[in-house]
Amino acid sequence: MIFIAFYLSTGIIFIVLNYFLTKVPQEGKQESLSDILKRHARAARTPMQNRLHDLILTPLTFALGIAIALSIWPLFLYWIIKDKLFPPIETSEHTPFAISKNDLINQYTVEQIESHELVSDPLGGVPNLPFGHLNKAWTDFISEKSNDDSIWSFTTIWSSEFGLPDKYEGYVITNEGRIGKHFITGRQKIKKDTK
Amino acid sequence: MTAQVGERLFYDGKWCSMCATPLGMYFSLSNTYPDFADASTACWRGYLGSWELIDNRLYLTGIKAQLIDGTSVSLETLFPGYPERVFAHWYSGEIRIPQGKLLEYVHAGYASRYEKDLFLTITKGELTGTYLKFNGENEHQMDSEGYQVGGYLTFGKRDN
Repeated sequence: MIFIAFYLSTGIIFIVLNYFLTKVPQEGKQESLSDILKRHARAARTPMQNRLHDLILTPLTFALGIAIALSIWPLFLYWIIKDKLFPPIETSEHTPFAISKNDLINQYTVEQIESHELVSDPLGGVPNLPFGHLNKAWTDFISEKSNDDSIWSFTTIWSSEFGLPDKYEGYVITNEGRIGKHFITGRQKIKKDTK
Repeated sequence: MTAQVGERLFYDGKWCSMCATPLGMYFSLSNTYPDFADASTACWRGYLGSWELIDNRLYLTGIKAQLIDGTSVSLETLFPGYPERVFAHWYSGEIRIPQGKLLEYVHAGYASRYEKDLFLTITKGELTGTYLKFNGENEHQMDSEGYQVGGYLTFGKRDN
């Protein structure tokens, strides 16, 4: 009995500590995203369903969660410690994104690109700068370019680890045939009839 | 993965849910990934954006999200100097707007099927085409219309 009491009381302390360490502090009384989603969920249910949800489902789910957590809290503690001491090493055979010489289209100067890629909006929803809201990413990109480098436009097709192939467009820095840093300006899913 | 709530789009005089995340593409292209707090298993991206098509141009007009430090996120937070609307010039792709009654609920992403899908083709932020795809008919008269998400967990904020 003493062991069970010790086990459960230690579990309660662990659960409470974990809760306060991971909680999100509130700032002001502005409606949160969670509140909006809960409101939408309630609106989608009938009044009877909401009563059942509030009086039975919510307390039951909470009680079940506490019961499970109290039963197997050492397992959660093990996982937390294991992840801290031995973070998982990502191993993937997936081909990382890369641009080849076959993907290069045309060579441009920085001035030509910036002139071509100016963005404007009649409602003032974008800065009148090259690449608009992506201007900072562009200036970061060309800050890497030296006087000996060239800039080419490119288009390539690549699949992320979890998705279908997408078409990527942008600009890339080259130097004597070597492919350097790239700046992606667009990504689109490939339609079968345009591949 | 739980079915995901869609972004909100004001189109053709009414709000609807859109199964696309143009803001996600902005984060990817600009290499900026705000530390959004987890809000719900039905919203793993951590934010809910509101969009409008004005004169065939796609604008981000609102956002609901919090960062992991509890800071509320607004348009001004993500796009300083643009508190009211942001032209989504970076986005090219198709926006899918499910319409009609539910045909098949799939508890994963945006995979649920509805009677109709309205596709808006967006090219560099501008609407360049639309087409409607019919998927079938739901013969149950009492079923409601419009995009829905089934059960999910929300992670509420707590008072200090």
